[in-house]
Amino acid sequence: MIVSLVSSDGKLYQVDEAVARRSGVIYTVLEDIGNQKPIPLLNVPSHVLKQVIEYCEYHRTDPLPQDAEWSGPARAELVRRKAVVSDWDKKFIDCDQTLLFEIIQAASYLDIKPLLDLGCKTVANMMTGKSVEDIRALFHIENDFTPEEETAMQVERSEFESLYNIMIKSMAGGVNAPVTSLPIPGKARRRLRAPHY
Amino acid sequence: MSASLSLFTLPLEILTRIFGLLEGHQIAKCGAVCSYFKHVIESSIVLQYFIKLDMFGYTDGSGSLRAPAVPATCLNRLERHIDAWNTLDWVESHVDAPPLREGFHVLCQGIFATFDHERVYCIQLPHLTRGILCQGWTLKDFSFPVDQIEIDPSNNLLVVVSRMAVGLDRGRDYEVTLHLLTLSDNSPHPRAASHTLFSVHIGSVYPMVRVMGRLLGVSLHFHHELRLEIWDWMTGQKITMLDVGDVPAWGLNCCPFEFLDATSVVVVQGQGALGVYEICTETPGAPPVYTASFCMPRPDLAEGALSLWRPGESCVRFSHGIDYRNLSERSPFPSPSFPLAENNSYLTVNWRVDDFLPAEDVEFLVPLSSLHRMPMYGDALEIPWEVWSKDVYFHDGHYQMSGGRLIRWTSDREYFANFNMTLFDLNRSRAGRLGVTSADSCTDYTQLYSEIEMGRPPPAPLASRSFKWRARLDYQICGDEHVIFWASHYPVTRVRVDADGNEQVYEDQVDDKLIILSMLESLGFMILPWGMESTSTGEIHPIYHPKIMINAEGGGCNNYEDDRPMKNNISSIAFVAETGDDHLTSNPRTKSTQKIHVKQYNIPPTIFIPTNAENPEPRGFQLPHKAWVRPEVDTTAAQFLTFLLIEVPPGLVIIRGVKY
Repeated sequence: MIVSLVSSDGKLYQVDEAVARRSGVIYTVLEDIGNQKPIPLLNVPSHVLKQVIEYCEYHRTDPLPQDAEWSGPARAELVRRKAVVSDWDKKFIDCDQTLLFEIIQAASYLDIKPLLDLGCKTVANMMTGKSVEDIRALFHIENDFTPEEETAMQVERSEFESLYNIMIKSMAGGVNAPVTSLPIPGKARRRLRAPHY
Repeated sequence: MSASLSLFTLPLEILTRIFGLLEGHQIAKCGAVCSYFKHVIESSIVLQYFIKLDMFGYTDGSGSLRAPAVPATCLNRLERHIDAWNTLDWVESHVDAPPLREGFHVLCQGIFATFDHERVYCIQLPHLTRGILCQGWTLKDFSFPVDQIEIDPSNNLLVVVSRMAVGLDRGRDYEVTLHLLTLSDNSPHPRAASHTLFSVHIGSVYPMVRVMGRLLGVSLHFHHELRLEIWDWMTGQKITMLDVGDVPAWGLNCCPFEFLDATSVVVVQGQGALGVYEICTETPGAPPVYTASFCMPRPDLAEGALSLWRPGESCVRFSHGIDYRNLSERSPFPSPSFPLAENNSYLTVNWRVDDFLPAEDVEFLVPLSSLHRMPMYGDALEIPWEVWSKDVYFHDGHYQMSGGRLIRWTSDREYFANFNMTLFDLNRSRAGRLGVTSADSCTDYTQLYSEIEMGRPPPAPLASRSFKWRARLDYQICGDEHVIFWASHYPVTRVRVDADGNEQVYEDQVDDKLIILSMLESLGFMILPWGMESTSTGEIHPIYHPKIMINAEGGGCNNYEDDRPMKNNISSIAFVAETGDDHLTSNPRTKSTQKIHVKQYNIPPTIFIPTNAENPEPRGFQLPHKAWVRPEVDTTAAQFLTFLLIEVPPGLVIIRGVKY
C-alpha cells in the first residue's frame, strides 16, 4: 500500500504505508479515515518532509518505542544514553540548525518519538558542558535580560556555579590537594564498631 | 538570525524535553541564557526537580516505585526531605528491638535486618508520606544455620551464608553454602537459576557477602589465602575469582571489599592500600583487571589494619549502587526516594593504627568520585595518598555517615540522658558554602594524627538538636532516610489495678526498643485537599488519590470535600496530594501552581466525626461505605503506634492514628 502525503507547500510524496505509519498522526488518520485521499501535512514543508521520510524509511523495521518516562531510572538511562546515537542517525541529523529545529518540530507535529528524541538529544549534546555565553553564541540568542535581572541572576548563578566548581574540581583531584579534617569531640561516647570480618 | 527564530519557535514542551536530557546544573545554566529559557525552566516542575536533585546530591529513585509519583509530589517530597535533615526534624517510631548483635545487621533501602543463628528479623522502616508503615517480620525455619546475611530489597533477595564443618579439624574447616531466598518469605528465590551456591572456606571466621545487582561477592579464607569470589546469583555462575593474598599475621578475618558499581570492586590490599579491580561480567572465568591501588598515608605501617565497613545505608553499595536494570516489579519493597548521587557518596575506610599509643581507629570518608577517576592519573597503578586524598575527610570514629551527612551524637550521662545530635553536611556541592575548612596538604600520618588530636575548628554544623529519651542508647545505625537507635532499658508505662480498684501507673523497665527517626516527613501541615489552586488563573485542579497523614498524637478523620477541617479537633493532618496526571508540567498556564498551597492546622486532639449532608452534626467515628482499609498494622509497633488508614476513593479519606 502506498500513502500519499502532501507537504505544506503542496508537494506530493508517495511512501509505503509501513513507513508512513511510523508517524503517530498518520497512523491515526489511516486508522480513522482510511487511505483514500492524500493526507495534507499543513505544518511540514517539503524540504523537511523529505528528511523525515528518509528517516522513517531507514527505521521502518524498528520496533515502535515506548514513550520515555521522565523519572528515575528511565531518566538516568536517558541522560546516560544521550551520547549514544547510531552512526546513520548522527549523519542524518548532522545538518544546519534551522533544519534541525524544523525536523524536531515536524517530528513533534507528526508524533514520531524516536526522531523527536534524536533531535532533542542532538540539541542537548550541543548544550552539554557549554557556558551561558557559549550557548548564546551557539544558538544566536540575544541576551534579553535587563541589567538588574542580570545582576540578580549573576548572584544566583555564581553561587550555583561555584558550588559546582567545587564539586568538579574536587573530582579532578590534584597534587598537593588538602585534606579536610573534622574536629575531635570532647568526651563523646565511643560508638561500638562493626566487627572486622 | 533564522536559527534563533527556529529555536524560539520550538514549543515549550520540546524545549522542556531537551532541557530534561541535561544534568541539573546544566539546566540551571540554561536558565541564565535568555528570558524565554528562564521561563521554560521555571515553569516546569520536572526541571526544577532535576535542578534541586542535582544541587543536593541526590538522584531520583521514586520512579521505580510501583506507582510512580508525579513530579510535583516528588519535588515537594525532596524539599521536605532536605528540610527535615537540615533542621533535624524527625518523626519517631518505636518498635520492639529484635535480638541485635553488634555489627550483625544490615540496613538497605529502608529495610533493616538482623539475625541470629536460626532467624532473620526484618523491619521495614516507616515512611509516612509514602504510606509505608513500620512493619516487622521474622524469617525462620531455616534448614541450615544462619551465619551471615545480605539483603537486596530491590530484588527481594536474601542471601544466607551457612557453614558446615568438614574435615578432621572440626571447628576450623568449613564448607560454605550461599542460599538465595526471597526476603519477604524465605522461599527459594524465583529468579535464581540455582538456589544454593557452594564454596569452600577453610578457616574459622565468617565469610563476608555483598550484592550488587546480579553480582554476588563473597570473601573467603582458602588455605591461608584470602580469596574473593564473584558470582552471578541469577544464573548461578561463578564469574571470577581473585586471590588477594596471604592471611595476614594480625588475623584479618576476611578480605574486606565493596562493589563500587556494577563492574568494579574495591578490596583491601594488605594493610596499606585499597585496590580497585574491574570485573569482566561478559566473559565468565576471566580474572578481574587490576586498575589501580590507592595508598593510605603510611603504606609502610606494618602494624596497621585497614578495613572497609558499612555503617549504614550511606555506604557505597546502598547509595548509588542500586542497579535499576534489575529492579523487579515483583519486589514487594519500595525503592528509596532519593538515592545519593555518585558525587555525594562516600566509602568508609576504617584504619586502625597500632604504632601510636593508644591504638586508635581513624575513619576516612573517601568520595567515590576519587576512586572512579582513574584516567586522571595516567598509567600509574599506584596512586600515592597525596594525589587522591583531596576531599577525603577523616574523623576519629565518633561520627556516622548518613545520607551524605555526618552525624555526631553525644550524651551527658549514660542513662536517661539528654542527647544531642549534630549534623555536618558533606554534600560536595554545598560544602564550600557551609564553611567546611580545608587543612593544608598533609602526607605524614604523625602530623595527621596530631591534627586529629589537637582538633581543628569545627566545620560549621548544619543543625543540632537536643532531645531526651528515658532510655539508654546503646547503638546507632544511620541510613539515608532514617537514624535508628537501639535503646535498652526502655521504660514502659503500665497500668495496674490495685485491690481497691484504683489504677496505678508504674514504670517497668524491661524492653529493648528500636527508636527509628524518619527524616522524610515533617507533619503538621496540610495541602489544600480539594485541589490545587492556580494563582494566576484561579482554576482549581482536582487532586486524585489524596492521602492523609496524621500526627501520631491525634486521632481523627476528615471529609476533604468539606472545607472545614479546622473546626474539628484534629491535632494536625497532612494531606499528601498526588495529582492524577501530569498536567502541571505540560500546561503552561498552570506554571504558577508549582507552589503547592499549604495550610497549617493546629487543633487539640480529639476524635473527629465527618460531616456530610446526611450527618450535619459531628457524631462519632464513622466508617463510610466501601472503605478500603490498609491491611495489617505492624504487630511489633502496635504497642506504641497504631495507624489505621482508610481510603475511600474518591470522596472521603479517613485516617486515624492512635498512640497508646
